[in-house]
Amino acid sequence: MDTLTRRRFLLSSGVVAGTALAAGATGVTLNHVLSRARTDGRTPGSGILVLVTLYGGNDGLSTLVPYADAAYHDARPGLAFTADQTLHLDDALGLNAALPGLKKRWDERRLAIVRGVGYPKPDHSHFRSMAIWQTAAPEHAATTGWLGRWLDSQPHDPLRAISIGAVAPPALAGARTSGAVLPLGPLRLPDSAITGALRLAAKPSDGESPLQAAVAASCSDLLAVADQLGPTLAHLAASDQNVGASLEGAAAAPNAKKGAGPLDAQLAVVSECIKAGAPTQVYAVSLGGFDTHANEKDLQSRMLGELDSALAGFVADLEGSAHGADVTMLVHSEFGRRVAANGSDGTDHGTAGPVFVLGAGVSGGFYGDEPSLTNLDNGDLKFTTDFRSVYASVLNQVLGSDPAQTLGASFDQLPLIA
Amino acid sequence: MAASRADCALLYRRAGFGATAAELDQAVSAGWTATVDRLLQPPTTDPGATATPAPHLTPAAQYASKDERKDPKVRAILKTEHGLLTRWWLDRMTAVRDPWPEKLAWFWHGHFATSIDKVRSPALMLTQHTTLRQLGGGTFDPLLQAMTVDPAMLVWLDGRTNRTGQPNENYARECMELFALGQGHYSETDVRELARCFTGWIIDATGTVQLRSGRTDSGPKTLFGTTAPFTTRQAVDAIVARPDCPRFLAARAWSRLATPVAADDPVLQPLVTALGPNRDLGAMWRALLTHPALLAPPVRTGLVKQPVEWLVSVLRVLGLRAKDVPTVVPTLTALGQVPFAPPSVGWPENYAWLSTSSALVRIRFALTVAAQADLHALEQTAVSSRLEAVAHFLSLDAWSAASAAALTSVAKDPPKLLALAVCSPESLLA
Repeated sequence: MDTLTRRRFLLSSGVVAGTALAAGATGVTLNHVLSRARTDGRTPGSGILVLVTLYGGNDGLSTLVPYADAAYHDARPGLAFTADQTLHLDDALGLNAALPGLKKRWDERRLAIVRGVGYPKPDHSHFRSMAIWQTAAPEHAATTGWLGRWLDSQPHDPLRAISIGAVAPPALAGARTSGAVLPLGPLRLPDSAITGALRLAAKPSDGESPLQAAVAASCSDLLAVADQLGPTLAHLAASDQNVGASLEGAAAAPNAKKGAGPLDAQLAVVSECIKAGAPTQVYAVSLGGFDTHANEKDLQSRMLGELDSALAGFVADLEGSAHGADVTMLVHSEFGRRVAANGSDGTDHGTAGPVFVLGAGVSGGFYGDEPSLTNLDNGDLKFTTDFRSVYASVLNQVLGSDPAQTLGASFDQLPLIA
Repeated sequence: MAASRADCALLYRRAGFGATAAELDQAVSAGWTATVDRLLQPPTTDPGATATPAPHLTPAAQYASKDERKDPKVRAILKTEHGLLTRWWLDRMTAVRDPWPEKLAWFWHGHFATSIDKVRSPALMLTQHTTLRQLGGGTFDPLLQAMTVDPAMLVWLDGRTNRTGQPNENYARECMELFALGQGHYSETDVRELARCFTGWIIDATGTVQLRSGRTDSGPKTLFGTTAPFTTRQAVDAIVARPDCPRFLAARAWSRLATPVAADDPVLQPLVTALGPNRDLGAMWRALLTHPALLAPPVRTGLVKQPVEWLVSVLRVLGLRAKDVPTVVPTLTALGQVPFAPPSVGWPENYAWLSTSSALVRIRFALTVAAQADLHALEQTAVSSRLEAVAHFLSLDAWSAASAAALTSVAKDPPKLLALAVCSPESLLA
C-alpha cells in the first residue's frame, strides 16, 4: 500500500497545480491545507477516531449482562442470559457470548466500557434520541452535529472527516463544512471529459459569491478526495452501495436509508484509508437493525456477532500498521431498552446503555457506575454517565481539541486514553 | 416595478422551480407585480395539477390497530404506499404549470418537519400534506391549530401520549421552539404548562383523532404569565398572539426563500408588518416576493437550492417528468433530502448541501437525465454559440470564467455540456 504524501497528492492532482482554490466561507483554501507541513497528513500526536453508530437502540442489558443480579433474571424471564452463557468480565457483569472479539480486547486491557451512559430527560423516540446523541444537544433542537462543530473549528480539509455509505450522519454536519462521504467500494468519477471539465470548473472566478465559490470548492474537494483515495480504494470490490451504481440498482427502494452496507465492508474502506496514511482524523460507520421489540435473543445476538467480527477484522487488519496504534473506536447506540421484557420476547425503547471505547491507546476497564435494576425511572434505567463526558474525553484525548468549544459546556472527562 | 429578464428568472426560482425561456418572455412583458400576482394566484386551474391527483392510499383505519412488525401485509402496504406518495409529490412538482402551491407546501413541510420514518402511515402523511397545502397561504392561527391536532404530528411529536398526570412535553416544546416563537421566547415553565394544555388527544383504532376528557388536564395553567384553564385551542391562540411570533415566521420565510444570512430586523420589517395582528401569511408571501432587497446581491447570491429544488428544476427545464426518471428517489436519498422524511430539526441550508459526495451524485444524475432529454435544439446550435444557448435555456445571466472554461471543454457534446451546466455554481444557486 503506497503512502499518501503531500508530494504524491500534488503530482496526481491537477487542481492544485499552482492554483489557489476558494473554499467557501472558511476562507481557507485547499492550497493552504496542502502547503502546511504535514508528513502523514495528520497533526502530529493527534489520534484517529472511528465512530461506530448502532441504529435502532441496542439493548445494553443483553450486551453487558448483569448475570449475577437476581433483579435482571426476574425482569426478563426467557430473555435473560445465565451466568454460563456470558463471557465474564468480573463477578457481576459479562459480555454477550456473541462478542468474543471484544472479550479478547478486554483481556488485553484495550477495551473501556462506560456503563450507564445517557442524558437527562431521556427521549424514547429513535429519531429524537439519535438526534440528541449526534448533535450532543439534549435540551434543544440543534442543527449541527458534535463532530461537525469540531470540523467547523478546524482548518478546512475535505479529508478531515469521512463517513462511509451514502449520506453523512448528522454528527458530521457542521454549520460551514461537513465530512466527506466515501462510497463502499471504489470511488469512480465520471469519464475523463467530465473530470477534466470539473477541474476547470473548480478554479476560482473573479466576482463570484461565497456560495458560488463553495460549489466550486465541493467539486475540487471531490477531485481531491478521488485523487488521494481513489487509487487506495480501487481494488475494493464494487458494491451496489457505490453512489453511482446504486442510483440504478436502488431505484425501486424509496425507503433505502441508513443502509451503509455491511459493517465489515465499511471498515475495510476505513482501514485502507488509515493504512495509506490519509490525513483523516474522524471516520463514521454504522450498523442498523437493533430495534429488538420481538424475538430479541436471536436477532440481537446476530447483530452483535456482526459487530464483533467486523471490529475484530478491523483491528487485525490494522495490526502492525504504522497508524493502527493511533486508532480509537467509539461504539454507541441512541438508547438502551427497558429493563423488563415485553410480551413478544423482546424489549421496548429504554434509556441508558453501555458505550464501548477500544483501541491500542485505550486504558481498559469499567468507567461509570452500573445503573441499578431496582431503582428505576418509570421502568427505565437511570443514567450514571452523561454521554457528553464520553465525547469530551475523545475530543480532548483522541482529537486533541477543546471539548467545551464543541460541546458548549464543560463535562467531566474519563481517563479513557492512557 | 419594471422587470428585467434576470430579475424574473430569480423570482421564478424563489417562488417556484425556475422558469422556461417562454415563461420569462411572458413575465418580462407583464412586469413584476403582475408576475407576482400570477404566481401567487394563478388565474385558471392548472392542468398539470389536475393531471397528477394525489395517490389513493389505504386509510390508516385499516391498519391503525395492527402491529406492523408482526403483520407482513401491513408492512407491504406501508412500504408500497410510502414510495407512491414520495414519487407522486415529486412528479407533481415537475408536472405543474403553476409552481407556487408546490413551493408553499414544500416550505411548510420543511417548517413542520414531520417524518414518515416515525409516523409510518403514508395516509396520515398525505393528510398533513393536504392541510399544509390548504392552509399555508391563509392566516397562521388555523394552520397551527390544525398542526397541533394533526394525526401525523400527534405521532411524530408524541402528542397522543400526552395525558393528564403524565405529560409528554415533546410537541409543546417544539411548537414554540421550531414552529411559532423560536428559542429564547418562552420559559421552561411555559413548556411544562403548554404540555398540560395539549393533553387528551389520541388517535383511536379507526385512525381518527379524538379528545378524551379522561386524559385531558382541565385545571388552570400558567402560560406566558397568565393563569387560566387553557384548552388546546386557547393555548394555540395565546402562542400565535405573542409579539415574537410574526418576527419568527418572517425570519423562517426569509431564510428559506430569500437568504439565511443577513435577515436582520429592518429587512424583515415589511414581512412582519404584512403578517399584522391577523398573522396573514398570504400578505407575508406577497411582501417577501415584492421586497426590494430580493434583487440585491446578498439575497441574489445568498441561497443554495435544496436538493429537491435543484432536482425538480433540472427535470422541469429538460421537459422531463419525475415519474419517467427512475433514479429520482435514490438520487435524493444520496443527496440527503427525500420529501416526507426530514430530520427532526428540519433540513439544513446552504453549505450543508455542498458536500463532496453531493457533487458526485449531482453530476451522475445530470448525465443520466441529459441523456434522456431531447437536446435537438442544442445539437443544431453552432458549437461556438452553445454556451450562450445553454445560459438562455437555463435562464442564467452569464457564466463565470471557470464555468465558461469548463463548459467550453465539453461544448461539442451536448448531453455533457448540459449536465455540467446544471451542476455549475450558477445553477446551484436559487
